[in-house]
Order: sequence, then C-alpha cells, then structure tokens
Amino acid sequence: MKKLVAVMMAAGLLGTGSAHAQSSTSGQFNVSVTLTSSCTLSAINDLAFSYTSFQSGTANATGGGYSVSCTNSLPYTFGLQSGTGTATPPGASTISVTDNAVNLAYQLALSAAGGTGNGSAQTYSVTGSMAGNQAGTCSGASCSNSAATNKRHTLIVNY
Amino acid sequence: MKTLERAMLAVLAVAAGGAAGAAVGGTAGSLDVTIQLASSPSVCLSRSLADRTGAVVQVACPSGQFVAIAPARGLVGAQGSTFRYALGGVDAGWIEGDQPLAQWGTVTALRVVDLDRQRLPVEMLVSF
Repeated sequence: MKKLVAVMMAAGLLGTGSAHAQSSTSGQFNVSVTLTSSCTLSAINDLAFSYTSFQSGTANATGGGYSVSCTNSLPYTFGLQSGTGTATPPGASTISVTDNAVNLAYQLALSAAGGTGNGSAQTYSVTGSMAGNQAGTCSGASCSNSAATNKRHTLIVNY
Repeated sequence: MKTLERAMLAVLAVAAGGAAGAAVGGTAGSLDVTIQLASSPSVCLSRSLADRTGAVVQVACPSGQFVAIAPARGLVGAQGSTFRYALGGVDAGWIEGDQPLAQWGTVTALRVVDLDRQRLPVEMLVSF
C-alpha cells in the first residue's frame, strides 16, 4: 500500500511540473556616464621674504606650497598673475613685482609648469626670489610690507 | 587669510584663443607675499640735498652714528652746509654772484659723531 502511494505521488508531481513549465527572456541596456573633468586647488601658503638692505646674495622666499587634485589623466598647467584681478588664463610662468611698501623687487615662479591628474593631491609650490644689493625703504631698523597694496597675487590652474 | 577664488574659466580660455580643444576649465587661488626688511647695521642711509646751498644732510645709521654737516669756521657770511669755492688764477676766491670762474668746486665739512660718546668726533673737510 505504501509503495502504491509513493508511486502515485511521484506521478502527480511529475504531472504538475509539466503543466507549469517556466521560461525566461532577457534584454540588454547601456549605462551612460558623463564625466566632467575638474581640478581643485588647495589654499596656497603665503611666501615670506626676510631681507637685509644691500645684502650681497639673493634672498629666496619660504612657503608658497599648494596642492592640486585633478581627474585621472587630465593634463593641467599653472600660470601666475600679478594682483587679484579677474583671473585671465593661462597666466605667466614668472612675474616680477616691486613691493610698494618696502620698495623691494622680487620675482615669483613655479616649481613646475603643470602635470597630469592622478585622482590624488599633487603638491607644488610658488617660488620667490629677491635680488641682492637692494636698499629698500624703511624708516627704522626693520619694516614689514603689511601695508603693501600689491602683495597678493593669483595662481591659475588651467585644465 | 588665503581666500580661495574659484571661477570657471573655460569660456575665457576659449575666448583667449588658446588650446580651446584641450582646455576644459580652470580654477584660481591667491597668495600673499610678506616681506621683512631689516636695515643693514653696516650701512648708513642718507637723504641729502647736498647740491644746494643751505642744504640739510641727514645720514642715519642703525648703529647710532650720524653725520652732521656744518659751516666751516672762518667762512664769514656763509649760509647752509655747502660752500662754493674757486681754485687758481687771479680770480681765485669765493664766488660772488654769477661771476664766471674756470676752476671751481664745492666744499663741506663733515662731523661724524658717536652718540654714545665712546669716541671723539671725526671731522672731515671734503671738496668736490
């Protein structure tokens, strides 16, 4: 008796499976991605000169470091611009300035002309040099250019 | 202190006629240049008007010395700190008015004083 039931159940199951057979179909679709390349520029450290009137050698500034983070493989270049007016790309590789507070001439340059983005922060610097044998203007033993109106300049990242 | 100024500069780059095809955009930031100027202790700075009669000459040194220019003794009627003179010939002597003289010059007396009075003043008579 038990064997008979087992046989019948097996047949029933087979019958049900045949009546409800599953099928499938498929489609394909694309994922479109539009990537807008960009670069971000960190804050730029100020440059600082320490100079003694009529010193014989060139004075080099400290500071000037900054970093740029750009899209992978995106080439970029740097440019300098005197003052804080509207940035006009691409800028110059060097600029010469005479400080209007202490009357000392200096030159700013770039540690690199540019680079290629790698998705991470890449560090560079603005360099500064001040020729020797300049008198400068100072009514006391020492002066700073804190009152200068032309001490701020612009770095441009072109990409 | 450092204000990050950002601006999309793509339009400007294209307008500038650069590599428009490659230029995508841009960003900019600013930096300050600070200068600390110290006067050299071995150098005296002066602002003089020594080419004028009655000139005031001021020479200041960080170490404390200064240079004073004063009329020399015996030059009666002289005013100021520099004096015109003539050399040689029958017309030798002090110039009066616009009297033309072939050889003339200027003389002045300098006294360098140590403000700390550690040394005696140095006096010089200079002609040029």
